[in-house]
Amino acid sequence: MKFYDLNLRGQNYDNDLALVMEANKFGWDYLNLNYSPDNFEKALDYKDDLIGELSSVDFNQTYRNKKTNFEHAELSMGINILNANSNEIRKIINKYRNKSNYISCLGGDLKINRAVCENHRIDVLSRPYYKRRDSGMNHVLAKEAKRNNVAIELCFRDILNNHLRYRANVISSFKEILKFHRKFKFPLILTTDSKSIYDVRSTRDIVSFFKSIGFSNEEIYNGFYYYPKQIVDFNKERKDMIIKGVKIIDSDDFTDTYDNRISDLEEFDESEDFNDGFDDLIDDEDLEFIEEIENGLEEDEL
Amino acid sequence: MKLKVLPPTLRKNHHYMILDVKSEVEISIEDMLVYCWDACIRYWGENHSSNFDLWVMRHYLIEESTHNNEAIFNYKTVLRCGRSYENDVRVALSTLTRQNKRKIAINTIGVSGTVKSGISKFIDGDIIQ
Repeated sequence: MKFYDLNLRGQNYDNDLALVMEANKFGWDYLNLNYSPDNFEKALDYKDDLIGELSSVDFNQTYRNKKTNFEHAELSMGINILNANSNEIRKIINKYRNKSNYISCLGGDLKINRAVCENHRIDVLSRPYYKRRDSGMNHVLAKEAKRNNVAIELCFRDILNNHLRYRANVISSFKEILKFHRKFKFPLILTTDSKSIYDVRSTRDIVSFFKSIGFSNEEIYNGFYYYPKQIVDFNKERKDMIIKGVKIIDSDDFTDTYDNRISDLEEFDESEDFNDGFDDLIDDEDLEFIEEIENGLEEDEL
Repeated sequence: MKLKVLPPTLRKNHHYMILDVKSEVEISIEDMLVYCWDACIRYWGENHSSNFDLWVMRHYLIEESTHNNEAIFNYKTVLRCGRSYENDVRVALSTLTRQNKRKIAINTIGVSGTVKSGISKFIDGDIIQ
């Protein structure tokens, strides 16, 4: 399974490089840097440099799982719309939809939450609970999100930045949105929203956190891999889609029916528990060493 | 009078977590223990934290660097915790962001059955002091 993080907050080249390197070191396989619409085109200028730096990282200097074949993370860039009303959102979407593979919109305001959930041209509604006492979602928005295939995003950074009753409030919102997700089946994605290297956590730490607040293994698999991959793959083909359900395909593709197409999606394995493979870490030498100590202590007691 | 050492079957079972710690200021081994306990008690509460049995076994400075004119101290630490509570401790440590108004980030990079094997697998070769 790959770990997708679709929301890293991009700022400038130096900061982005440090952020991407750190995330790569801690085992993330797909990173998406998000910018405001104004900064997006500037950021595209140094995208290739970032990818070049990322691919030159020595694998042994990272904590990446050696069992997987992914030597370094993939990188993409997207747009995060902040503080805009529904009219401004529409204008930004019209301008950038064909240029960007990922568009998300910060929620929090009920009108924005509703407008985003009803707009199939937006990929993600980010943090609908932002600066609210409730989760910002209800059954109506959940149904709309499902109908328009808009994913709802939960950010781990909200846990890091809030403390005591505010943190408890955010966790409570996560649980409420999870409840809606279980009933209405809208896409739910989990991200870190890292801004500096101090916000980056390893994939296993974040999986453990979401498990501790009640997410099942399958929900974690969907949140970190299945839905983000769906968004990325869908957006690669979005340009060819004339209207919903109709897509232009090349003449070469006519022979390739969907039944025969080989998918690179790794299916959910029920035995998946995202463990460290702890048993592998105890050597025979260690066991002998432990036995020696124990025998020594028993002899002392006698 | 000193208590007699418990027989092996009555002793608590431990695992050792290898931590990657980043901080704006230098952290001593005593501070590290306090930070770990604080994080656990804040996230899990006093009752559940009582099972963790935390103790810092080793604490090494790995690298000292700067980013945006701010110093970054990188440490690797071996933390003892109760067996079968590794995930709980890992969650609590990952939610720690600030101590004394200074940024700190703790990541767990491995779990081991003994201190020796933990150090040889995750730390050896990185230590500079």
